[in-house]
Amino acid sequence: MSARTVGNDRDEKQMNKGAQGMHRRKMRRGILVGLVGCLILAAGFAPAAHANLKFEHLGVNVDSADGKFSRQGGSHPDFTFSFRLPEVLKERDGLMSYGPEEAVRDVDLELPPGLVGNPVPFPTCSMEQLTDPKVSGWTTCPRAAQIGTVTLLLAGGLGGTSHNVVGLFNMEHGPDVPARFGFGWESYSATITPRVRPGDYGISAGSFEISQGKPVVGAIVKLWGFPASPAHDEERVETLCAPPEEVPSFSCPVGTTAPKVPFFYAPTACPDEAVGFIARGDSYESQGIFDEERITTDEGGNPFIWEGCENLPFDPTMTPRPGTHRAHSPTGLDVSINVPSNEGPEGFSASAVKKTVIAFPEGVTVSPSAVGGLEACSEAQVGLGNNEPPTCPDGSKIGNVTIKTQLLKEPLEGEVTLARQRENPFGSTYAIYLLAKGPGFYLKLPGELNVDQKTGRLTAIFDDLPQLPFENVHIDFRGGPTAPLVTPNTCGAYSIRTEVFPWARPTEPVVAQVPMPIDENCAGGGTFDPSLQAGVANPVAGARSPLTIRVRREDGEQNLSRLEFTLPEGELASLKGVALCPEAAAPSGACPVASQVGIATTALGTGAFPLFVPQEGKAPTALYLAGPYEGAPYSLITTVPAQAGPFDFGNIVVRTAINLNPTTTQVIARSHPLPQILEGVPIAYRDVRIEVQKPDFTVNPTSCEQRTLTSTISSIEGAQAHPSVPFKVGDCASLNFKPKLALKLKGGTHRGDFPQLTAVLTTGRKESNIARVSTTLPHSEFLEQGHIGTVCTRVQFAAKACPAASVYGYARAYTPLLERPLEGPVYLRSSSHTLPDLVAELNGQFDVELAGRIDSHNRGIRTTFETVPDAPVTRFELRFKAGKKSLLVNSRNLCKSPAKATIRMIGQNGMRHDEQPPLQTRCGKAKKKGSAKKGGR
Amino acid sequence: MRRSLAVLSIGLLGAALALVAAAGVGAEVVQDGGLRVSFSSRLAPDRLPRARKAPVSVSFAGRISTVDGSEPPQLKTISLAINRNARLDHDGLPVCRYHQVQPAATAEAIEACPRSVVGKGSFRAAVALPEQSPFPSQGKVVAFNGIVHGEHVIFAHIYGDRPLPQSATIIFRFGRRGGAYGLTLDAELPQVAAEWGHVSAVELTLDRIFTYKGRERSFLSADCPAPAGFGIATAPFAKVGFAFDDGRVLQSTMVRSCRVADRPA
Repeated sequence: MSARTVGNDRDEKQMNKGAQGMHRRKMRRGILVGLVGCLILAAGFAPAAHANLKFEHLGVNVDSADGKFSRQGGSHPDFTFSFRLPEVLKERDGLMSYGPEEAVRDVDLELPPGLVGNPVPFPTCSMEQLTDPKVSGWTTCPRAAQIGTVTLLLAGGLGGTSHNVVGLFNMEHGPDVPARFGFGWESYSATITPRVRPGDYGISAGSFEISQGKPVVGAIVKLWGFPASPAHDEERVETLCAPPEEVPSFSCPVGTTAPKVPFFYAPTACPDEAVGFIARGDSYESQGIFDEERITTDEGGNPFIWEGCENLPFDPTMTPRPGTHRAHSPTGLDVSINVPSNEGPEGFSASAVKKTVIAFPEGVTVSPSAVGGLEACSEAQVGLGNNEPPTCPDGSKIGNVTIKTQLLKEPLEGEVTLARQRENPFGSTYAIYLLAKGPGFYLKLPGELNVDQKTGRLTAIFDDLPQLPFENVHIDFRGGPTAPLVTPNTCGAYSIRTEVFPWARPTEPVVAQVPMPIDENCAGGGTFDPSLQAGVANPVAGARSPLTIRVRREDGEQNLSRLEFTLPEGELASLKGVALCPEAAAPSGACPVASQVGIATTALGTGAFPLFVPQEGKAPTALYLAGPYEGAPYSLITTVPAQAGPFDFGNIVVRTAINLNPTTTQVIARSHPLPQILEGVPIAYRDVRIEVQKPDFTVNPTSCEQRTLTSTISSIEGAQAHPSVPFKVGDCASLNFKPKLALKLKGGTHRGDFPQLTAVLTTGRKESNIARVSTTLPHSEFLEQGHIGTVCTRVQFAAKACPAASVYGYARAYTPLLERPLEGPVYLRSSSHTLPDLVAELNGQFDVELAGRIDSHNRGIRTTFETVPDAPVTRFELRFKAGKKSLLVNSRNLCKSPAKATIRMIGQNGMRHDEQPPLQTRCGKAKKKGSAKKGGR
Repeated sequence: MRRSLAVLSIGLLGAALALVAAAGVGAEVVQDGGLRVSFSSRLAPDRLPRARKAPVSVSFAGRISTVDGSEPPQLKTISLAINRNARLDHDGLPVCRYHQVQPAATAEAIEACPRSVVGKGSFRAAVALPEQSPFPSQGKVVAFNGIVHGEHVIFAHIYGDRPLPQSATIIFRFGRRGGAYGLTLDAELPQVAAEWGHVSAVELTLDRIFTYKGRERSFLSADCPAPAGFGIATAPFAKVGFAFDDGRVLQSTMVRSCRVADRPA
């Protein structure tokens, strides 16, 4: 028989002491039957039934094999757990007898983290061997499979409690549990099944659905720290040395062939606070109503405070290896952590790893390309704190993990998944989970990715790792174009800093610098040669057609910083009727739809497969029209929702000042510097496409000459490129060109009178814009140089500080593109011509200046507007001052002979239109009061 | 004897000046600081009767410059005093009104007052506007016998079409004073292109001969006051003064010679 009864001491309280002092003796069967009568007699003394199972005694001791007190961290002490239930006299099967008040069903003990057993090196025993019916009362388990003892306390009816010592064996087990231990006595057997708790990954071990075949009132379970130790020879139970068919032998050798390795491990962490055990018991009678008690000291009153961690070895190596040596390339990552263990009989265990830190060199960043199509796993899906299988979406997987621990035969294999942004244990933007399935448990380890918001430098931190020893952890982040990381832009000898912190000494990491050479694909870094594309969908002169501008940058070149485009002359937009994005909404880009004029598409990231934004199913991009910005009267707000894969970083809002070249009315769009990093992810712009596509918004030129869309593209490192694209529309011949210019002279018509000249130009629909216009006044009009007050210098004009005396008239231009006319004073402004120019400063929604050269032609005063902007103007009025402020003086009586002006106009489409309209005067009309004063001296 | 010596000395001086004039040196340069005016004048014909007035053509010119090439100040007034032996005669000469000639092109001005023309000339100015390269402005000058507020004047009508068609009329007012100079002409000049222009040259010749009441008359006439016994006379012919807006006045007395047309018997 493999069990032994060591006594009938119902009152024995110090069960563990008895167990420790147990000597090897011949096993014998407990005699119970004769006590039935006594039980019947005692029935009248049965106390009232308890509501549930109640431990009468609980005890945990951690001592060395020789029974000495031990709290050495990392050591391999013996571990003893004992419990005892109260016995009561009550009727059982019609007889009064002592026994447990309620039949114990489950007994479970929760061990503090780090206190583990390692069954792997030891042989196992099958259930058949444990309770082999052929050799009733004997176990045929291999002796080397014994890893401890169990003293089973059985109620002895009226005869007292029997103490029956049996061997505790390492049992065969299925894949759903990490280990199983078993013991048997006579026909009675039970198993103890350890399991890994979720959360702290400590070990709990319990015996469940304990057979009611024996009236169990207590047990003393002892796990040996070092089963092969001769110190346990006395406790080693005899097993059948011969095959069961043969006659049982009693001459088995005393020793054991158990491997000379530890079975039980004390924690390798030595916190100042005591740790405790939690015991739970349940009965068949009151299932589900547990007695739970916390055990904080051993039976000698000593708290469980582990010490001596400074003596524990810890010599880990951590090797992160990027998947490429190429610069500015997506890269996977292979991380291997090795922790040499000490499994010898001498010395202590190596400390478990508490924390790992991988600090990547600056330049290694998260790759935006990686997140396209990616999904993320929520905390609920991971199920941190429970042992349910994670239900993370397949798309959240970004790598694989393999963990080899000496505690398990097979390595744990699992995956690395991306955690949901902010909905992770760290509340951080980036986090990952290592998820691996073990026997009966899931390892779910969250790791935080700290990203420097300014530099994008990455640091991966796994903290509070389970206090479980492992030999190797191998994490393999996927590689390829959508790999999660990007190597630095330039080649160099980089290094990755690793830190591995032991539980034994949490403030003393083992630090290493792992070389990370980047020595391939070095060309290209530092150059800057972006390309530009632009065009309209319908390249017909004067048509309203969407405009697209696209800037592309090759991988590895300096990143884009600022974009400035100067549209070709005549490529304009109609602001009439377009709502502006309110200024309050501009910073966030949450503009009303009515202000939207287009969309944007961007490709971001490194490698062959940059991330395109917007992504399908995500918020769309938008281009909004907004008000003044950086001195410009209008602006565009480009709103690009930074939503990719599972990430939502809000909107990237880039504001672009929209101005006009005041002389050519060319649209100049100058962006604010583009954001370079978002939530720590450097934004490598590969392709920026702006599509101004609001119907009837953009207007083509009416000139079919080849023009150019120019740009100034700035890099983040200060380089500038000036790519340009030719721009040409066609079908100019379909446009008419018949503008009408009416010239009127108000005021006196006599010689010496100073008339007020008014010119009104009108154009029709579907006409070409005017390119050049010259007006030559008849000989009747001289310059009245005495009325020249002063001229505005170009410096003054630029500063909008022209003296009042330099104003000689007023102009107003109506365009269908704007809500309101542009209008303003007309100056004589210094010029590079012989005479000052006549300049109309047209202000309004935009500022435009229209400069005319003044000279003499055929003895007439000629004003020539050489370069009229290619912009639609339906009406242009120019009124000069009258009387003593008139620049003109009649050199003859205008009513005597009609005077004609000479008008020569050229359309943007090349058509000419000349006319000689008569100067309209007041001849023959009644002179109104207040008309221009008559001149002369 | 003393008078003879005096006449002799004057005669020698006149002979010397005549030689100088014959050599073509008709300009006198006057300088004040960096401002320089080159005055010149001409009397034609130089052979005149001793005892009676004969028609003459009188030319005056002034060229204004600066030593360092900078812009000179604006000319504000022109003063011209002519030897007392000259006589102004506008009796019977049609007068022109200011508004008839101003503003007008030269042809139109002449067309308006064709019979009042008493001379012609030229005018040159330079305009230097701020931030602008200086450009010249020049034109013709036509002098008209005019009348302003009942007083006879000369309208110096200026017209030019470069850089722009424009005209101006300067009014020379007559005066009388004692001494060597009997007839004066004074004119105030308008500003040229506000404050940015300056006159650089002006030249005027008065030479109108007309017929009135059957007699030929000349707008200006003179005799040659040579002393008896001398066939040539040298005397201060004219005194020209230019006053500028900076207060400087540069003037010159021009001595000219005449020869007696009807030599004494």
